[in-house]
Amino acid sequence: MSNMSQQRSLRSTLSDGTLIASLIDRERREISPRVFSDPEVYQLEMERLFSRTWNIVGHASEIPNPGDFVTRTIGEDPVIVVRRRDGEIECLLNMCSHRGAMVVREEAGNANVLRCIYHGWIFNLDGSVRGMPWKDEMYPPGTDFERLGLTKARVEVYAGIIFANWDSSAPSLDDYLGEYKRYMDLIFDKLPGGMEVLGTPQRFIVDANWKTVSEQFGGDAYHAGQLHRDLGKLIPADPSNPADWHMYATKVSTDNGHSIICMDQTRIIQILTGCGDNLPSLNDRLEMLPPPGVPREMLSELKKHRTVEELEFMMSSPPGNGSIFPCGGVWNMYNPMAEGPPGPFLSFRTYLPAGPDKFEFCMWTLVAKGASEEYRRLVLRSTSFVQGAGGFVEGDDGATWPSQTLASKGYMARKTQSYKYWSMTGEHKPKGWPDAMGGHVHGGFSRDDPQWNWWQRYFERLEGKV
Amino acid sequence: MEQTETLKTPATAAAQTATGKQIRHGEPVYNELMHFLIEEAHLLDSALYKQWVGLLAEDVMISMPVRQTVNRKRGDGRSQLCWLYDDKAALTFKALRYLGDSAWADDPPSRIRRMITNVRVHETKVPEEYLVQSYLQLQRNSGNQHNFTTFSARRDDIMRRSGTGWLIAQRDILVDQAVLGQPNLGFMI
Repeated sequence: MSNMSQQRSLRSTLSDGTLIASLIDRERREISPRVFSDPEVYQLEMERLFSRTWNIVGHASEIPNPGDFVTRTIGEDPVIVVRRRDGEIECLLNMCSHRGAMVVREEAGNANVLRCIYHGWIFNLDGSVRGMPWKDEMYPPGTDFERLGLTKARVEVYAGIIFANWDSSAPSLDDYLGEYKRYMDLIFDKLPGGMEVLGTPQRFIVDANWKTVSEQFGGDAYHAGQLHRDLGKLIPADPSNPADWHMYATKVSTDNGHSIICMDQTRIIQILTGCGDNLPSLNDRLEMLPPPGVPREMLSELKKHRTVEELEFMMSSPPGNGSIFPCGGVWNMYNPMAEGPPGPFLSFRTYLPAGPDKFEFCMWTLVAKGASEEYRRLVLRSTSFVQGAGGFVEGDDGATWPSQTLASKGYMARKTQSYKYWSMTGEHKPKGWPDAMGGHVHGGFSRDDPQWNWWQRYFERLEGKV
Repeated sequence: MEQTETLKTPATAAAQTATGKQIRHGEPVYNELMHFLIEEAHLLDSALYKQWVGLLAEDVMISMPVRQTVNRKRGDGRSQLCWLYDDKAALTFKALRYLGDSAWADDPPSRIRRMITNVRVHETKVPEEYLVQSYLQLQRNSGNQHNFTTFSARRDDIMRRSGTGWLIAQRDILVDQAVLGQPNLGFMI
């Protein structure tokens, strides 16, 4: 079995002879619709992406105590994410090494050991086999029980988010995130006490390929002015002014395919206050819009945790939403509300492949550890109004991804059409951009740069080059 | 475990404390409330959203917690996080938005049929308020879909008698899916 798993197919064509490399046109910056619904491409993704990239499987606050576990998915493989007695986190393939039943069937719980309900095999929290019923009668002396553990992934945690990777030779999470970490710090590491998941994730099914949403989160600000134009009913914005739709927000892409849109929060504050060029002080702006996840009464802790330069960046160009390659997303923004001041929203999510034309949207919402019930209610209202399946904004996204997937199946669609990334801004750092905030910085009018970066990184892996 | 405790919504609180006497099928109050639920379903299925908004009390809160699959001893798996947690302003915006021209999640509209059954009514500590539990079976068909997406839930409503008729004061929706089978709740408002 170990030989089988070590063999990596490096074929460069699909079974009908199509070169994988021909599905991307690097010169014209176009992508073939075929990648959005082809079962063979999908299988290659399981092999060449999901078994080798760092994948988000949860948040440390979901499993605070020894024995706490949650069950999640990497690619299509079910996994158990469990905290060991020594505090370390394990990510184990949720498949009994005996006859393949799922060892854990609930989404969350606490256990001293993991016991398969089928024949009663028992595993320790580190995945090693602990025993089985009638062990001596069933298995002769000399049986290599060491080899009977659950398949383990590497686990690393950054800013509270748990990542797992099946590939023992992959670069560390540190290298994988690279310059993206600085942006994650300002999104998720705002307080000494950290953030915690509000309840449990929202999980819902979308009849669409996982890449429709993943590449959109890779920097598509452009769609908001059309698809989400009803947002204009809630904010005193000019529907024809691109600045009011964050089209001058600075986009950042990093080498491994991650990206973030740093919002133009100065513009938001100008809209909210009518202050023009006389921006309120940093403290006043923090009081007005405490960074998402941080209740106003915890601002003093934020100020101790982050430097003035960082706070200024967080209040003028906050990293707002983006993509963690391959299928993760982040949100760190204020939502307009039907009534009253904007509502904070801090989230990360994964778009889990469930077949070529289906994915599960898994969305975590975060608040400061120890946040008051009042703040939690505020975040609940903000989430429900705008985000997830119940929100009126992301609900509309859910109406477009399936149509992209469906249309990509047609013969003429694949023969005559493509996804276009023709509009590029290039690398320009806005004036005063901090040196510490690295990556490829695309200031100016918001175009396709980070999404195109996402596709290039995707194809390097699909072609087996990385 | 603390994490899976429900953030107390007014409706769940009422449901937990409603020790009032049960109003049986056929009694006048029961009939009025049953009539209300049928008429409400008619308004929503017919996209008569302006009229529907008129059924909401000023302090209404509609919540629908996420549910997790957990072992029996851990309870019904209600999460603090909600699919829906909307006050009157949010519900009004979401509902009336469907009458505009940019509510893509349900425009072209899906074809929806709500079945309301198993209605149970209890008195509460407030004389003019009743706890009304009902089962909702909703069938939705969109676009070229040749089958139906179904949605099943129990609703715990606090119904309030006002000068103009009954109003929904609170609604807590206990959905019967841990993984929701559709990408938006456009139909729920």
